[in-house]
Amino acid sequence: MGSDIDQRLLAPEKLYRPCDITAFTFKTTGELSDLADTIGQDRALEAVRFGVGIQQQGFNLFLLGPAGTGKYELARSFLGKRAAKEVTPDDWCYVNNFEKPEKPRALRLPSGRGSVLQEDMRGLLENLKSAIPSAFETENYRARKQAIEQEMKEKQERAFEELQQEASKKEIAVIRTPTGFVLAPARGNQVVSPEDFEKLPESEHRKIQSSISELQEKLRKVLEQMPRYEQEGREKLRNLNGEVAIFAVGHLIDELRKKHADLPPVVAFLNEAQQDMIDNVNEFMAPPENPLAAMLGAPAPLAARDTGFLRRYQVNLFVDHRSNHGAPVLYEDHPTYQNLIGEVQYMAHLGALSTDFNLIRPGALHRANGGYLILDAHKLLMQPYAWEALKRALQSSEMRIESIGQMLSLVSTVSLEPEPIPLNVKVVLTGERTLYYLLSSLDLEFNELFKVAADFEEQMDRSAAQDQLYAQWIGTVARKDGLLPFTAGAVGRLIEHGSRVAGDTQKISTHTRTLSDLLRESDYWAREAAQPAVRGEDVQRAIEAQIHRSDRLRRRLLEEVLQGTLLIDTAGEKVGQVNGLSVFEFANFSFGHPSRITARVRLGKGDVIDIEREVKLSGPIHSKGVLILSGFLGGRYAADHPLSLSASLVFEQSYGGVEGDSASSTELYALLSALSGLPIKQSLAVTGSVNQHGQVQAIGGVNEKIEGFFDLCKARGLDDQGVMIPASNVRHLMLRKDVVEAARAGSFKIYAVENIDQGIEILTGVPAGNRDAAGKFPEGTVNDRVEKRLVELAEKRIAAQRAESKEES
Amino acid sequence: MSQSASALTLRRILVALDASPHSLAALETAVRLAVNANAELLGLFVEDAALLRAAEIPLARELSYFSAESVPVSREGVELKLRAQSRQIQATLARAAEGARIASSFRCVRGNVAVEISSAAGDVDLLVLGRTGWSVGRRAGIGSTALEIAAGSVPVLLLPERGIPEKVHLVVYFDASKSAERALRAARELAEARLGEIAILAPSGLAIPASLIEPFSANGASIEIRTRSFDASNEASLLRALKAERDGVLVVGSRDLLHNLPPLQAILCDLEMPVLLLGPEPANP
Repeated sequence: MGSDIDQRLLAPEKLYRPCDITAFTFKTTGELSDLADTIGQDRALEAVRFGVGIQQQGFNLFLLGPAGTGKYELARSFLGKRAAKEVTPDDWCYVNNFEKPEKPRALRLPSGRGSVLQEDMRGLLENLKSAIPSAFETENYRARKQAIEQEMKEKQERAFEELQQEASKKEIAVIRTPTGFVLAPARGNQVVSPEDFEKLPESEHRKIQSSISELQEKLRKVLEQMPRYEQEGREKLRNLNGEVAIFAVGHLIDELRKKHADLPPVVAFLNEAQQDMIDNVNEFMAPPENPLAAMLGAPAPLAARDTGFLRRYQVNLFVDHRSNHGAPVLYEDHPTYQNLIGEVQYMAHLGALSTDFNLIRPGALHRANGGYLILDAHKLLMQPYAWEALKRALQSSEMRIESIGQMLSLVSTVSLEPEPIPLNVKVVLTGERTLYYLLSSLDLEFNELFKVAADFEEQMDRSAAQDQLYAQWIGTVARKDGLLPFTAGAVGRLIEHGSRVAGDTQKISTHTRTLSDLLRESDYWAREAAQPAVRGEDVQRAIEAQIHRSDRLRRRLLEEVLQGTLLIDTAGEKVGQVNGLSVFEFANFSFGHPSRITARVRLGKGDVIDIEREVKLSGPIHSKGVLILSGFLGGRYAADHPLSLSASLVFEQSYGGVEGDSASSTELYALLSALSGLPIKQSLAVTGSVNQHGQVQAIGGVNEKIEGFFDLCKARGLDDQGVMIPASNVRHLMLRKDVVEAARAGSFKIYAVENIDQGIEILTGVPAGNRDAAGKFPEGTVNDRVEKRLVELAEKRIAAQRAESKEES
Repeated sequence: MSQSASALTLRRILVALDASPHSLAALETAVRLAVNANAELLGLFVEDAALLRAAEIPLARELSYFSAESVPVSREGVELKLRAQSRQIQATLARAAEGARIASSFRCVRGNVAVEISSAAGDVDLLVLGRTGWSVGRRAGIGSTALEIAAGSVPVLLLPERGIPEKVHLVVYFDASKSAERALRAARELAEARLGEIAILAPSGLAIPASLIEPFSANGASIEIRTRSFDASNEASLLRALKAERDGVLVVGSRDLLHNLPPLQAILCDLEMPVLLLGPEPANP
């Protein structure tokens, strides 16, 4: 019996797997070369390589895994290296559509040519501002213009003059009024007075009437001719202006046409711009001065350059790759709808909002076009309509800029409809696994558009070769972040800590973010200690400091126990009472803490009542664990008689709810103790789940649980206490140094059990007992006592039932 | 007249106005001159008596500018329109004067246009006439109206349709006569105020006395002066010289000199060149 229990006792070597730093060939990580990729993500890297390499629609990537596993870093680093070797994509410009200004045209130019065109047009406009007015100030132009005006004027005056002469002959005066002309009889240069007119004979009246009517008709014709003359004059002037404008503009634009002759769309734009300039040549000239208007307080008219007319000839350099080499790799930190697909901005002018193609702004998709766009899936999904917009763009392989209002048909205001730009981008989403699985199952389009999943590991195998890689990774981060180099000892300690974080002696955590943080904190402590390199003790100090900063609650709970507020025994024996172990998790810190679990039994109908469950303080897994106990009891002890107990189980002084089945073996021990009447050693704490066959199964947080009970025992004085864990958890043990030392000293023992029998023997010191050939447990063993007690309860119950039947009959 | 006496002192400037664009050009020029000379501006609107008379004749009809339709006309209707025009002109003048911070007044009279303007010009230093002030729409007779109005001693500025540009130079017709000397002095005074330049049109071979030129650079003045010659025996030559200087204002010392010049009609209508007629020289005090 004693030797059986000793077999369960774990040797100190089993409690911690140290890193063999003697295998390291370096003194500090400063001697190691940089690691090309991140660590432990070979499978994910392979997936990324595949996803990026395949050039088919829909093969976009989703990098899934817990936050902090280096998804973004891997994507950035891998894509950065690949993109540098790829072709730099074309530039894109938006220019005015002179026929339909509301539909700006997109121009595609080889990388770097967009800015050249923009500068060319800027220079052209600057030249035109002076060239056009100069052309119109030449003596030649003025002479021709005056000739046209003179011709028009003479036509008008001649018509009036002829009329005037005829009127004079007929003694009719033509007099101006504020609104026209009055024809009246005259004598010499004087209009006949009404009195004199009345004195004239009737025949004279008729003659005058006839003359006036005739002249009126002629005057009417003259007046009707006036607009025609003016129209003719304007037409001639327009032709002249066009001729002069072509002279002024043509040769300047010719130079640009030659320069961009290899790009027909650009040449077409230049042709259209030239025609528009000719049609609107007046806009280039300073408006005529009107000092009187200024005197009257009227706002002075603005020249075209001030009114923004010339904006129509500008080039909106929409996507500029002039300073890029290779394909772009872009991460959009704030993937709003607008930041993703671009927008048409507006400017306020005299209280009204206006826009033009110059105000079209690119989104991340435009800037990453021809390359790679990395997005955080969670952030993307948090932005209204951004996810839908991204999918639409990927599906249609083109980018169409429209406001949310337009997209939802909420506004019908006339705005711009920029020509869509073809999209050729590889989108890389990063996010938690849950998000990936949700999208995969709920969004039918998701699987069509994101066909490549790269699943990131949280841990990697621990081996000598991997240790070396880990060291290299530490060296790479240290160099990149400007940290001190890490000694072999520090690397060893980090690897051991990585194992502890992974909760497995055979694994190391690949949670690069928390590990990087630890590197930085270790560097801090090394610098505090004025060390040239980070040592193992600096790493240890950083770990302890991290714990110290987070363990307020742990200390508080421990205090409560030490003060007797929370009742936990660490010595003596009690029937139906076992120390269980729980893990509390708060943010990034978790710790173990003992709980008292008690069991009471009485005659009943085979119910094992979980008080936690009754009051809804337990989760479903915990409840399942408790229900398994009935199965175990019934199967082992009451195969041929009814299970006639009523047992109640409780986590004493637990007020916050319990979840998980790691206490199910503990509860079973308490139950067995209560049934057998055998006391349980309170110097031991127990963890492990149990199945219906009494096998003890692995649980999580084994290190924290052991350390939680150790801290209490240590505070009270170590005296042969210990913890019993499932044997399958031994490989997870990476215990604190003080725990290992106590185990080595024999003051704190850790037992590993495979089944309930092994456990109950350790807890009670009484053999569990196996059935003999007759199916009986040996006398006095735990199982014998339990069985007898259950049989006794069953008999009592049967007797009670008979008595009840008799009474009823 | 003493040599130092001012050839053109501007204290009161009269501008004849109607509501036409030409009239507004005249107002603009008059305001500018008044500002430069710190002179008072007097606006005058004449209700044409001939028009009112014509409106009373039963047969009279008005033909609208805009529709070319013939409508009956009445004295009351014409008076109403003239009053509206007068109010509009008065308001325009007041706002322009206020904007330019000059003193101004306005008068509306009824009668013969030429007579009323001449009468109002009796106590001013300069009369500014826009095109409608010196022409009633007939090419024939241009100049005669102007001369009729400007028969008195008041200098008259006759403006073409386009008025006077902001930056303008002065063109003096110089034939060595006293009147021409006076024109040159007046031009100098105007140029000093406006810091402009002066072009002298002189017959070929005619030397301009140094005594007339020296004052242009005296007392730190830096008035640019240049000479343009023409063949006195050839009228076309003078016309060409004037054409070359048509962006300027032609300053003529006396009405008499007009006989030596091309007809006013050609200068004002064809060249669109403003003309400043100085009028007869005042008698010595």
